[in-house]
Amino acid sequence: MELLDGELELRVIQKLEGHTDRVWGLAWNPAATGVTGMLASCSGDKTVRIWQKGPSGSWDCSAVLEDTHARTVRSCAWSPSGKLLATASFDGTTAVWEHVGGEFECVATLEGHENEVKGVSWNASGSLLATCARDKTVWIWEAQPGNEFECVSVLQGHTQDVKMVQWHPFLDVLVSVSYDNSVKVWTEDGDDDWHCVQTLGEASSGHTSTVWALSFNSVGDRMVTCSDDLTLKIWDTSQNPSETSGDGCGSWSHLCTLSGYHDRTIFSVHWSREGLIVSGAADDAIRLFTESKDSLVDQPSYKMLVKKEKAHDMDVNSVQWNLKEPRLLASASDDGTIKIWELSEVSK
Amino acid sequence: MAQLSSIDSVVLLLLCPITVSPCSISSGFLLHLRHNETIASIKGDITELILKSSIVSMEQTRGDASDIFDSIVLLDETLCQEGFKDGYRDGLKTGEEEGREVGLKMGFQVGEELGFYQGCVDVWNSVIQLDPGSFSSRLQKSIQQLRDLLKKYPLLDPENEHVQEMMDAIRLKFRIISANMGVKLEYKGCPKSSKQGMEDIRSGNLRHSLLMCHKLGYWQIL
Repeated sequence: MELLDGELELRVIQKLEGHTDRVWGLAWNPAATGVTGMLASCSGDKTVRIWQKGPSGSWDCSAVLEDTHARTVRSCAWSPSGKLLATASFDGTTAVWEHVGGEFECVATLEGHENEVKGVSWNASGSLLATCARDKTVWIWEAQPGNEFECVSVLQGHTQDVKMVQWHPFLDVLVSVSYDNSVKVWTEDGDDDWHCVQTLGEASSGHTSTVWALSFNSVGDRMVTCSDDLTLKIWDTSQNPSETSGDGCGSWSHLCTLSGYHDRTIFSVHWSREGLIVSGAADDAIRLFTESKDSLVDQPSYKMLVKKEKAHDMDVNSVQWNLKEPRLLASASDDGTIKIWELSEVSK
Repeated sequence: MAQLSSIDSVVLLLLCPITVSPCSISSGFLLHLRHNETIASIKGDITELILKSSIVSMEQTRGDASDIFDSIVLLDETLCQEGFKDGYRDGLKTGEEEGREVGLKMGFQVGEELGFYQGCVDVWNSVIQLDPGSFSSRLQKSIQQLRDLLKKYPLLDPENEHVQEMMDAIRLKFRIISANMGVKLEYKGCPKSSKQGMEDIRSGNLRHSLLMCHKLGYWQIL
């Protein structure tokens, strides 16, 4: 990453208003179809809004996906092709919408969880969809022709509410984080047989309270998790868990803990293509971290680059880097608004 | 037998005020027994005799007195023991009856639920036979897995420690199959969250039993 010489700051580009309840999640469309930015946001008002950058350069709400979910929409995720959007709701269902020429249509509804669905994630190829819920299970669905989804497996192992699931950037390895303070790694043992190959709990230098979110770096050899214990933890995920000899000890390990930077629960974390980690916390602030090239220490260490206090009026629930423009960031909050930020040097 | 001489009567009279009235008869009796010996020896040993009979009568007095007091002092304990025995016996009976009731109820519920799943599996298998293409191969495999799980369930061994796990596995497999069929199939008798439901039933009956036993004093049963 070309280092910016000067001091950095986060500048608000625009504040997006429209939702009538807290905004829980954000997802940038990964499609490389020339659209500079399409952002999906999901909210407690039971709708999902699509925002696009108009010809004037400002962001407008181009679509509202409503009348499908009966309760809060907690999380949303675009398929790698950018054509499908999966939305997870507290009503226990996950809806899959197809994006055809500006219009969105609900093409599938995945039912199966017993209660509130908290997270949804597509794998790298778009063939698998993972959902997690308060019923402590993670369901893996396979996309079939004709927008049909078939449940492949139900993963049990967590002892509490599962907050988020995320696939590895290119391996079919699934990671889930939970209220039970652990991070679990799941792989397939051939023929729909999914099981937990590793649990990163307190014994493996893991978190000591609810783990809210995780994010892989673009290469997939590092993962960051954030927690209610006020720390961010960096993990070495360079080994392929499917290839371990299965002696139970697992191949991923703890690298570094970032503590002392947050004084309230960290709800969201995202790693940019350029290696910047952004965090959104309950103190309404957004922080940026980067690896510091400190040659004195053997282990990698990270330092805080920017702290944007009062980024929102209430808890920041989600922070997401734009996948095309590495300096563009979106944040969502309990105050019902979404803000688009730009990282730039402080003009001297 | 020689008749009581005047001396005997005197001794009797003498002895009466010394000893406690209930025992005067016994001492009198003693004297009477002694009557077979010569009067002379009685006369000679009269002091010794009085003393001896006094001692004997005093011992007997003490024995009788403690018997009476025993029945007063130990009244509480005796009745307590009797009550306990009664309670225990009745508790055993009631516990058995309740156990039978709970067993019948639980057994019926388990049987009903498993029967429901078996019925579904049979219908699905018939459909597969008629039209093999109706379900995807993954779905067919799940149906066979459910059939195997149902077959393995130990219906005749309710005390098998794995029954709860097996029931959970069956319920989960059924949920996956219904999710994949896109139908909202639900066994109405089964509580929404299976584990909580079982706990409710168990704790509910336990509480009920506890209340009953507390009322009737059947502590030992539990």
